[in-house]
Formats: sequence, C-alpha cells, structure tokens
Amino acid sequence: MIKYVLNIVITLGILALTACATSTSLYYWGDYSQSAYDLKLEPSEKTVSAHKNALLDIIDNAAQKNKKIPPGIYAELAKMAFEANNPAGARAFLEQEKALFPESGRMVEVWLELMDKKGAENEATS
Amino acid sequence: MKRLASLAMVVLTLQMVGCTAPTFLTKGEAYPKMYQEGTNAIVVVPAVNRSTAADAPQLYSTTIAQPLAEAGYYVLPIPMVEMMLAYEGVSEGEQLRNVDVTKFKTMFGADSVLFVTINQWDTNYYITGGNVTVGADFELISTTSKQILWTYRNVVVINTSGNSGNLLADIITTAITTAMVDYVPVAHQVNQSVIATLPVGKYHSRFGTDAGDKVVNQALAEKVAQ
Repeated sequence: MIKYVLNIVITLGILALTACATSTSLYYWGDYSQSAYDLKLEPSEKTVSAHKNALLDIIDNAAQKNKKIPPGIYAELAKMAFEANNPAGARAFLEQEKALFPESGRMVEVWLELMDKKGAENEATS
Repeated sequence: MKRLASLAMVVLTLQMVGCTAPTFLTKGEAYPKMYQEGTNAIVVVPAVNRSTAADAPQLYSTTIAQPLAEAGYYVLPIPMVEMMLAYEGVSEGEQLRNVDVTKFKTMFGADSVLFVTINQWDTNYYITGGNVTVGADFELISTTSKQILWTYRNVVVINTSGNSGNLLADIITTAITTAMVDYVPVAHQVNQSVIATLPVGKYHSRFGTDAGDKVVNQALAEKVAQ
C-alpha cells in the first residue's frame, strides 16, 4: 500500500515537474509554426486547409490547455474567409481579433475599408 | 525539430570567435529608450534579403511572430500586413527602408516597426562536413519618435557533419543531414537568441521588471550603443 501511494506521489511529482517545464509559453500555438511554413513553401488547397485547421484548433483548444489564443489567429482566419469570398465571415473574425487585442483596432478599420472598396469594385464589374 | 535534436549540434556565435571576452550590458543600459517610450503593437515588415537564397524572407516571415508574441507584444498579423502592403505595391523589404515610419502608425496602428535584414541563409557542404547558417540583423524603430528602440544581430551555424570517426560513414551522414536540415529551425534559434535581449512587452509576466537582466552582448547591439 505504502509502495502504491509512493508510486502515485512520485508520478505526480514528475508530472508536476514536466508541466512546469512546458508551460512557460503565454499562448497555445498548436501546429501553427509547421502549417504556416508549409503554406508559404507551397501554397495549395491542401496546405491552405491544413493551416486553417491549425488556426481553428488553436481557438478550440487554447482554453483547455490553460493558454491564451495568440495575436493574429482570428485575423488570419479573416484573411482566409475574405479570400474565399466570405466577407461576412471575415468581418466576424476581425471583430474577434479586435475584442481579444484592442491594439488591432486601426488595422481592422483599414482592412474593413479595403474590403468594402473591393466589394464595391466586384459589384461594379458584375 | 526532432531530427535536428538528433544531429550533433554545434552552435557558434561567429562574432564571439575573437580573442576578447564579450562585454554584457543590462537591457536597461543597452535599450533605455525602450523603457522610456514603451511599445506595444509591433508591425514586422518583409525582411530585406542580403543572402543568396531568394525565398529566405518569405520562409523567415513564418518564424518571427511566435517569439515576439511570447515576449509580450501584440504582433500585427504578418499575412495580413503582407497583403495590405501588396495592395500598396510593396512586396520587398528593401522598398520600405526609406518610407516615413509614421506611415506604419496610420496604416496599422503600430507603435513600432521591426526591420529584419537576412545576411546569411546558406548551406555549406564539403567532403567531410557541412553546416547550415542563418544570420540576421534586427532593428525596432518607433513610429512616433522615429528613434531606434532596440537593435541586435546574430548568426547561428548548425554543424551537420557526421562524427563517427569512419570517414566514409561521415561523408554519407553529412550529405544526408545537410540536405535534410531545414533553415527554419535554425531561424528559430536566431530569433530565440536575439529576442532574449528584447525588453519584454505588456502581456509578459515580467513586464517592467527586466531592465536589470544582463543578457545583451554589447558587440552585437552596437548600433544602439554608438
């Protein structure tokens, strides 16, 4: 019994130690580094969708990992939505970036103006 | 990363090869303006490329947001910044070096702009050895005062030589590992060593308390010291 308890204590101790060693980051990045790199190296449907999944995974799982969502994650999703002709989706993601990081306010404003301009151009040509 | 860990890594700071021991300054001594003025939102613009690899700035751009954010700063989303600059007809870092920095305030709301110059992005391969080298200069400039807030540079060389003592085996190992090593993990190391000297930003738990950290190699920060 004592041995059993000791084992648990030791295991917990090791877990606590390893947790300390890996929990120094502020944000949860998931596969961001790899998927962003792959997308840059070879832009394709496959790498775009892998990067999008990495971004969505960060949003879904950051809280569970006791980390925050990093700057720019919502903004990158906004860019992807814009590129997929989904301006309403892009707008919603931009609002979320701004809510999380008020520092993005000016950029969001400029970006929305750009989207409106682009939308007007598209209407004019269609 | 894993395969890198399995390599025998030799990391050299080329600047430290000289005979004199480097002088270390505290962050407060090296970068007083950073503490006086403060900065929160940083825009990273496309890197200036002085290396021989045409794709270096593009690949490099995927490595810088993470360490800067972890240092406590709001990093303007790089893919969006690139797209917005592209609308303005800018795709190369060189085009931005002479732009009035206050423009980055109006366009992005950035408090400061980070200029990165990539000096080396090379693979060297010789019969019994090889290495991958990434070297870069960093300069953070205020978009309000136009002052240089922080500057640092570093070179990381990762040795990809086999070292079994068996010449033929070493030649083969070197050929394989040099071909396999990505630049990106090396770029991550450059970022890590350089950003360790940057006073941390407001989202970092040590914000405002790191001025006494003696981690700045004076020779590598000389632009500010001058």
